[in-house]
Amino acid sequence: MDTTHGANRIGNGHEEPHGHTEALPHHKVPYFLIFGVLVVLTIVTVAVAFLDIHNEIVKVLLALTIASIKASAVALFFMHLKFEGKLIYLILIVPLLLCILLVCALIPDIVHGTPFNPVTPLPGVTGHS
Amino acid sequence: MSETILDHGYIPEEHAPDPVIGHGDPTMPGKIGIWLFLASEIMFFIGILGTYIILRSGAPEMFASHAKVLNKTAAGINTLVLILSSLTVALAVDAAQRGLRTRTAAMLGITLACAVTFLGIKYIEYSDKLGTLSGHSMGHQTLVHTEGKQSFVYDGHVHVAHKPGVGGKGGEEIDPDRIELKGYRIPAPEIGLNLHAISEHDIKERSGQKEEETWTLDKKGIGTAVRYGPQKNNFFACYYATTGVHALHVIGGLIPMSILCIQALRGKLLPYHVEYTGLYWHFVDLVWIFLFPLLYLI
Repeated sequence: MDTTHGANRIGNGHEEPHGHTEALPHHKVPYFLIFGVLVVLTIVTVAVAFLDIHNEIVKVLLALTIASIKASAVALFFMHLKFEGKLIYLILIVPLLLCILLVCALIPDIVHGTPFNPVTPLPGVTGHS
Repeated sequence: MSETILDHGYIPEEHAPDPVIGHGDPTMPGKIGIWLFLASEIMFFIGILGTYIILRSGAPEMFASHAKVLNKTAAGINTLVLILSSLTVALAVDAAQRGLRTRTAAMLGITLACAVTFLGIKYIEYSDKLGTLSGHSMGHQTLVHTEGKQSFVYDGHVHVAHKPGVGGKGGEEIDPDRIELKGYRIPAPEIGLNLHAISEHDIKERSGQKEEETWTLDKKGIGTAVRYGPQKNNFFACYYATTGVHALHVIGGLIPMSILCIQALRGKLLPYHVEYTGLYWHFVDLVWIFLFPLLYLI
């Protein structure tokens, strides 16, 4: 074994231990196309914000759906998740499930304050003159 | 002599390959490591975001009203800047895997420029609310000011006031006793007003003003003043927590990227390291993709 393995080099020194070049696996990904999709979806996100939706749940779900599509585009293509093995998917699925579990577990802690009125009476004052 | 993990990054199989199960290329330990780290970071962010979701559910109108105070244009530009940086870092990883050293350095350089732009725009957003470091702008505040018998609730941006100069216009000298406020005002109601719960949007609606007006106020007349910092209300606490922690992650990502860029320029290409740093950077972009609509747009 070469005892000066990596001792004089700046990098990790393990790139070519036996002197042969291996092409690192790289997949053909249409980066610019995905970038275009992301920009379009960002414009869609902003446009949807101008729609006057009064139902809070619908607003949140719509925003989260568009954000999830953008996130999937980044994760599957930019992060090469589409070409990864089962282990990486397992590492990802666990926190995603735990996220949903966390938010659901916090639901009993939602505290509805007094009806929104920034003019709150001082203690002892009835609020009517 | 059997090989160790240092030789290839994984320990190669020493027995005959299994005739039934196709194992394919083994995943590099470094890649598993970075994905495990990203998994823990997902849990980190969902802690803060989950808190935001729950707090918002408790006071949806207040949150929606205060979200209107934020600068959507700046955040939109930041979103596009981060998406561009994701593209360039993906191209850097691709170039590194092909062995193209100068292209890797160039792409990493553009990513770094995008990151610095993001932080700059973030500084503009924060200083708009909290005030500049020089102290010339004292940020965005909601305050009650009494002059004689009249009390008003003001909401707007506070600057240092200048002593009147020659000809009646504002001079050069700073007036230490007064401040200048540009925004909206309503007459202070007789019963207690929750300055923390009211936003500039609410005051603008109640004031009937079409646009911002400027007043010069005597500091002695100021009663309660609430800055638009994390102390303002739950919305702003969540806003500063999420965006602040995200900005720290951006700064954290800058460090390995700068090191790799400099190494590439000095002749050392590290494709695995570029790939893993790229994965981290994509995650930072992902978090912002969720933060932007959740904080600014709904």
